Amino acid sequence: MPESIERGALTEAVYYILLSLHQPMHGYAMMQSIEHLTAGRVILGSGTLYGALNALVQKQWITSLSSEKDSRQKKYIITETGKAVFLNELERLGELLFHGLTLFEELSDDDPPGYKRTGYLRMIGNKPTP
Amino acid sequence: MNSARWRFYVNYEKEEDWLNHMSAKGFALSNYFFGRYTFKDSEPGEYIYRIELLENHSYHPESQRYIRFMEENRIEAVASWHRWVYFRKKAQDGPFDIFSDITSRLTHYRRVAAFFLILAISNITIGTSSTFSSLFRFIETGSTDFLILLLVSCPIILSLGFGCLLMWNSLRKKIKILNLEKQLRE
Repeated sequence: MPESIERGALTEAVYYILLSLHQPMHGYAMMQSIEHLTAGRVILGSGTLYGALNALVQKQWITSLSSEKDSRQKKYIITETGKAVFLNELERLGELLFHGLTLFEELSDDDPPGYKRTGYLRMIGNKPTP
Repeated sequence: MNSARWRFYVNYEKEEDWLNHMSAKGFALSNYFFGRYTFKDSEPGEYIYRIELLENHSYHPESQRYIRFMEENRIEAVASWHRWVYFRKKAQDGPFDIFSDITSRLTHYRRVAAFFLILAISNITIGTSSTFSSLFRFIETGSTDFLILLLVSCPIILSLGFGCLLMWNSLRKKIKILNLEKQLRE
């Protein structure tokens, strides 16, 4: 597989699934923990989650913990490959964030009004106070 | 208490709207068979309904695996019709969408579009050929059987075919919009 594809950005669903699966979890718990973590912004659809989990197992970025027969509440965990992919993505996101924050550092306080303050706070994960 | 309604939908999203509208009034879909919808009394707005076209027939092992996964996520498959499945979730468990990103939404739309295109082509083909054959047979024999076929059955088949074609066209537009969106974001 060409390297350029291996370096592509992960989808938000895949990113948060890999993040959650640093500890063993089943589908419903994943959905809830992701919803909680993002304060309700990311609510994974069950169909989307199902498709992503199957693709991730196929890529061997995650693995299923229970045997084939025991299909009830199947739990998953991230693999070493998955961890490497996740770490790469984290580095890529860090770069994106760094460039964005640098832009705000260079902006003057009133150009454009309020843009710097609200944008900066949102990027470091705080809701701007009204 | 049970109640039943007869309906015929080509547009599954309108069907979904109707089921949610019924649910809001306290009629929760409990079964479906060939245009016959069975409702059970429920608390108004207790359930949210979603309809999905699966890749395989609902009895297929892969579909069964998927339906089981949905059940683990507190989503119930109340009825199925070939590859179509009627899902519902309790409204108190939060919002209910089967797909939450563009890629998975696109995959489903493409599957549904292919379904309607095949249905449109086969119905229009069958409808057109039987219109002509029953017309000639009627002229030949003068039998009213062929007249009924010509004036009732053929128009039904043809309008079903064109209904499916319109549905396919509207899905094609949705796919186009999503494809554009996909170039920009996830």
